[in-house]
Amino acid sequence: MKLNRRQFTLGSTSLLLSGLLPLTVKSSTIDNKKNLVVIMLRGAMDGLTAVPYIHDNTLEKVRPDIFVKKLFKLNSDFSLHPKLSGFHNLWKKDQATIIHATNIPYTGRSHFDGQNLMESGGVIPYKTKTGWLGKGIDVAGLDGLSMSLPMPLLLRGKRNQDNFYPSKFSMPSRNLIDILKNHYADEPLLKKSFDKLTSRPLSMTSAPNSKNIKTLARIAGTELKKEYGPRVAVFEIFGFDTHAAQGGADGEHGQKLKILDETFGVLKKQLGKTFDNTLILTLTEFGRTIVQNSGYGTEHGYGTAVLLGGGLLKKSQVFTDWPGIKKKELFEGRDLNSTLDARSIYCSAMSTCFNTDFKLMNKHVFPDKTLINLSNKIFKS
Amino acid sequence: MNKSFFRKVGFGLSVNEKVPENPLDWAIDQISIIPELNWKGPIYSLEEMMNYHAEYNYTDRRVLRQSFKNSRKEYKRAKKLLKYKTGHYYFEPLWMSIRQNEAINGNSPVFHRFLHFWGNHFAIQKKNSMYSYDVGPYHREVITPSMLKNIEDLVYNVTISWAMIHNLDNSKSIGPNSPRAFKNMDRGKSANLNENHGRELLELHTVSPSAGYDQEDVINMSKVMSGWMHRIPKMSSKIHKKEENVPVRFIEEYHDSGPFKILGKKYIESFGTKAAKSMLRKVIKDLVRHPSCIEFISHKLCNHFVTQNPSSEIVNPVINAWKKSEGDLKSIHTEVIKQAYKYSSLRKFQQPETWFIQFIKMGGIKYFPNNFDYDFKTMISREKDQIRRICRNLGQLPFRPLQPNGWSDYEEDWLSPELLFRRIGVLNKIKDKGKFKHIDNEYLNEILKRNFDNSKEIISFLKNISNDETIIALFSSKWMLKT
Repeated sequence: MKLNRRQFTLGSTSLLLSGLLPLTVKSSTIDNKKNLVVIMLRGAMDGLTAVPYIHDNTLEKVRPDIFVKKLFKLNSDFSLHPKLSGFHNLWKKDQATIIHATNIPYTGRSHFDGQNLMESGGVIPYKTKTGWLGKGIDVAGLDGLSMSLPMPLLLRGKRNQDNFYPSKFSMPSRNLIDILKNHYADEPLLKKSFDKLTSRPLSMTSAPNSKNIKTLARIAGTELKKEYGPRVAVFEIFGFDTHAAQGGADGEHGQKLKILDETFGVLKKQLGKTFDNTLILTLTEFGRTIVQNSGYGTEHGYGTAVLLGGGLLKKSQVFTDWPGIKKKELFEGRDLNSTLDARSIYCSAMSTCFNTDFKLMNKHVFPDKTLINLSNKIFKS
Repeated sequence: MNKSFFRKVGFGLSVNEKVPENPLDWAIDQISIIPELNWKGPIYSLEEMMNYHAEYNYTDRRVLRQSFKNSRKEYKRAKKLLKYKTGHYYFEPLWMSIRQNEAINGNSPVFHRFLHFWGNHFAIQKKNSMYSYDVGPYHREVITPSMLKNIEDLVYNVTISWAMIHNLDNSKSIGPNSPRAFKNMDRGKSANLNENHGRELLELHTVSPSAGYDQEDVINMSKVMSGWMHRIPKMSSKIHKKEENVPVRFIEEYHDSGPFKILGKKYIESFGTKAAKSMLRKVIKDLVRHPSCIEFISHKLCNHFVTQNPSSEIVNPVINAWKKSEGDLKSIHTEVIKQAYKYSSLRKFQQPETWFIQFIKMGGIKYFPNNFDYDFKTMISREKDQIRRICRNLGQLPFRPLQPNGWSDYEEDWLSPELLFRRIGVLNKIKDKGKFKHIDNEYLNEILKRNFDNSKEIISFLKNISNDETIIALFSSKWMLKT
């Protein structure tokens, strides 16, 4: 594993991998191994910058200084930001889908509450202490490994998942390890973590650092490609909170979309044929206001877009029940509305990738049992 | 004797320190005055930092990007030299060294534990390059002098500080009912509020979501705050070169004239700059007296200093002290200290940096570089960057929380296999560097005598461990990880 600690702490991008222990996996699962890659876009990704509505000039009017003009046209209603050129290539091959005007059912506009719910899948901030992906991994009976220093909420399940991040440190003597094992016996959390630590495979020793997102995506691709390797990878891209200098094509939001696009591109290249059995899914806590502010940025909003890539998609499409962006059609007169609970997408994605019944996943992972199964509409059967 | 108290509210005792006869007096005395700095190395003011950062910003944005627009390679080289010249890699390790030096060698470790707490409560995110310049001076010049005042002063001073105004974008906010908004309207330009700072003031810094505020409250809070900004002056090219690196001031032209309604209370602004300027203070005064604010921060203090998820039995005395003193910080801190002493048998998982400082101090480990002078021409040495690198490896760079709500204070967020490994791994590496050689049995006994009530139990735990791993075992023990 070549992962870079700096990428994580600097807050630009990080990679987490959820692994699979071969012994816990049925052979049928391995025969049909499907990968799920989740990319968390922290700071509130603006769906209308990534995938602008171009049916009329409403958006251009309210965003005179940040509306991007040279776009990839997707259909008569929507275009794609020019920094998403790799994603556009996937689109041309029927391997890209955009689900627009969607969000988790949260309208409070706080990053912290929003990100908490985006990861937990709950409806009340901080109430749920586990993540929807961690719970989904539990339901599917998989073991997880997170490639990061702090354990992300998204991957926390009932069972304490392992985590790993390369370093040049080494363990003390066997004697001290045994003594500490006994010593931690009456501290449940400490004991659990130490037991996980001391039962690590040899491969998790030291590893050299690497510094950029492309390397991280390459490593993820290599691992996901392995028959007995991990089947879930999670990336984080920070910095979508563009209250100022959001863009144009080369603005801050565009730069972040470019990182996202590179992640898609490297994964596609590295996965090779395995890309056909892979789904890449973006998450963000909410969208941004329709109108630009005086700093040429946008404020916290509500509805946004989810970008999906990979061979598990049925076809390229913008899937939406479009609510409109005229003043009266906006949420609270300012934000793109959400017409689809994004958790329906998450649940359908896990159901498809983990070969698990949608209803079972819904019941055990999300508190709302009325989510819609989108599998037939979005994914290959 | 409750010796864990010295670690609960401080960083433990070094072998050069006597065990205080009266621990409560020892601790309370320390939070009763603003301590002199023990640090003898270089130190820079916020004003100096603004100049360094202004030079960095201006030269990069206006000079280098133009001069090297045809050569990315040349541009990168020039930018690297600019970074050296403006101390880009130097200041964060310097601030961390000053911070940790005061904790380890200063006379008021308890004061500094509280400073660390408030610095994390009013966290500055790594949002752009400025954090590495301004967080140290922000802690020293804004938070520290406020710590003997009222919580109202602390919140107010933080709210209008350069660091927070910049961090939460308040300079981008224009009150919809302000002269500037009307001017913009005449010119066909928009003028909107930036709600970031207003929201965090309510959510993270004062009342918390438990107060039940809504979007209207956030908008009204942002209106009250409009006008507090570091506006780029346009009067002369010399000042213009400073770009946004100018002190925060209140500019009435951008201020919304109200009326405002926050958490059910109406605020009507009378005419004039003075009234407009004082409106923020009025609102903050009410916020810090709101029951949700008192409960939220009292709970957070007890959660940090006493035990995770403290019971109301522990938190209520702090709430009462807050109410009785109307928010006097010394009274609040004193009550937290008393609760930490009373409940010192309850253990609390220590954040990585706190635990590490305790290890350095109690173990008498040689840690700081010989000097911190810098030539502003080259990359800083690995020796000077060591403190920052260790904290990074432990998973907690104190000045770079990933979110504006600071670093977590919950065991679940810190107890993972990798984070546990990092602590043991760092100890192991320091052992390999031969830095435990001064710790013989006698020295070890001095550490135990000063810092633990259960010395016999610890000695029994250490008896089957080889001499060279004794210190690793002691500082990896549950008694150190959870104090």
